[in-house]
Amino acid sequence: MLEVNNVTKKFKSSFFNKKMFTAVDNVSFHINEGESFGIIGESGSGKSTIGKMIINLYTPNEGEIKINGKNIIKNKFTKTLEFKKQVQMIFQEPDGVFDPKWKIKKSMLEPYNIHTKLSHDEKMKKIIHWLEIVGLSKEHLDRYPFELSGGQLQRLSFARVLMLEPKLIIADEPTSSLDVSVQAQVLTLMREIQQRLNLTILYVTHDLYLARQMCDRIAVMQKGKFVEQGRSDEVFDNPKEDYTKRLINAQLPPDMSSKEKTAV
Amino acid sequence: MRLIEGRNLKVYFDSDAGKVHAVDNVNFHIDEGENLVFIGETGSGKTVLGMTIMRLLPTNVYYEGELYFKDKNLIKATEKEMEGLRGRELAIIMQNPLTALNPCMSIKKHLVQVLQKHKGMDKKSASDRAAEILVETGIPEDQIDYYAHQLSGGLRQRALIALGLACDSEILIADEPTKGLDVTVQLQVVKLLRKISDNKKKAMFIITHDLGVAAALADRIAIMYCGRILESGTVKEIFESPFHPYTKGLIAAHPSRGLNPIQGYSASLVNLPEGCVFCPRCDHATAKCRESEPEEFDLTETHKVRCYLAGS
Repeated sequence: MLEVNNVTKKFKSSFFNKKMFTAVDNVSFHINEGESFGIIGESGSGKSTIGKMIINLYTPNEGEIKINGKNIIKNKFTKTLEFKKQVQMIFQEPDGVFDPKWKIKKSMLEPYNIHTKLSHDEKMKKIIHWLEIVGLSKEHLDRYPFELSGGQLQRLSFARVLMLEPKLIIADEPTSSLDVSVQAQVLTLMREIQQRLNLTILYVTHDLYLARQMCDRIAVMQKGKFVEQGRSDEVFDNPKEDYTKRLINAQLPPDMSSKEKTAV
Repeated sequence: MRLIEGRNLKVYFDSDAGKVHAVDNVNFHIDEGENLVFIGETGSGKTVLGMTIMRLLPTNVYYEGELYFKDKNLIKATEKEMEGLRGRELAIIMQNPLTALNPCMSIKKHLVQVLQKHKGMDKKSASDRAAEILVETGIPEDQIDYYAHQLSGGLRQRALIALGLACDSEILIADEPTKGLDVTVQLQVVKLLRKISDNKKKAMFIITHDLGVAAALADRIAIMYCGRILESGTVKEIFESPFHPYTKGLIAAHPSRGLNPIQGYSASLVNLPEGCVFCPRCDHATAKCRESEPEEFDLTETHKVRCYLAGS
């Protein structure tokens, strides 16, 4: 489904300085259809940059990215609505997704207005259907974003992405702004919908427990490079690289072992 | 010695939609050198509780009940008295370092100001002491004159912790001290807080929704839901023998425990359900739960729970 081959992305480090900063360094991976793949790393490791390259917000300096066999770099296809409908992204902060001056209804209608030619009633029917799936209801449509909680907004942004029935979703830290119980709700929902629609999902996260629960395979990223890649339970139970071990060790589980870990 | 004690504390806000019961009938206490962690979802009233201790809430607030700091009732304290306490006796680490720190002031200057105001130090000795505290909290010596935007997230959080430590107050309130930090940085910050509480014997009031952080820092834990404390006990009691269905649900929802969600969503604080606030989401709810709100039951001397399951 998705193939990323030897991709490198460099940024200018400053306006006056010609020196380049390499955010992503020769990274290759693939994701099969219906699979979920996780990229794990600390902030600044370049994991979000990969997501943004796949959705074509950045153009890589080297390498190729193929979706269903089609190279998407410098390809006019990526400017078409069809591409945008197929590949969707869920952002970390839901606040940025919704226009603060628009009622939720208008924000939710927008994707259908652009991508479909349905009548208004059909659109509303579909929107309400998706709202129910994410555990919200019709009454939320007449509110403004500031009247809803972070969890509700994030679920709305999930609905907004899912209602176009994309093939590939890039979820960039989708639940880092949510509470544990809401996070569990949103993620089990994701898992259900993924199975029903045979979705391919790329998770970008720093939470290893979460990656283990949600991903079939994971890659651990450090300073722009993949240090380890494999089945998520294997990487978790038998980490080979020191960096992976360090990340796993830094996790604080909800039991008494956390106390020992942080003892001074 | 008892430092802070809340008795039947209620905090209400007036809003267009009606009275918001942000904190309702809460009893808690913090002893000297003890870490009490409040766990709860957004909107459960945990931050409001922290802000009540500092008396930093907006003017549409109403208090009922009592909240003692040593032998002073903070709710009845005048603004002038509070000014004397804030910073000197009660210190807070705010939630978001980027908004809590002044962008036009270096982090050292923040501390110098606090020391001059509360400790009456002269400029020179305040500056020396500020540098000392910043280095102690793990900020590299060449970065203490930096501005907030120049620091990384972890160092910014450390700068805020340093500010909280500046006046050597007896109690430190930390509101989501690890929010938005990476796992490895989170571990460093938690270790720093552990060091402070262990070495300085400081009492801490920590607010978080991260169960792992709570397990690492707490002596005792209080689980908040819709403005009430549903369960409280020692760390061991909460994590090894949780009693309340909500506590059990929270632990089961953690990604390391299988990500099992609690059904339903938390109730609106304006329009709370009749009876027990958790009953619409509870598998064990009976007719009794829907009629009246359970009182606090004692399971052990430290382990208290608001649930009818404990009474029967």
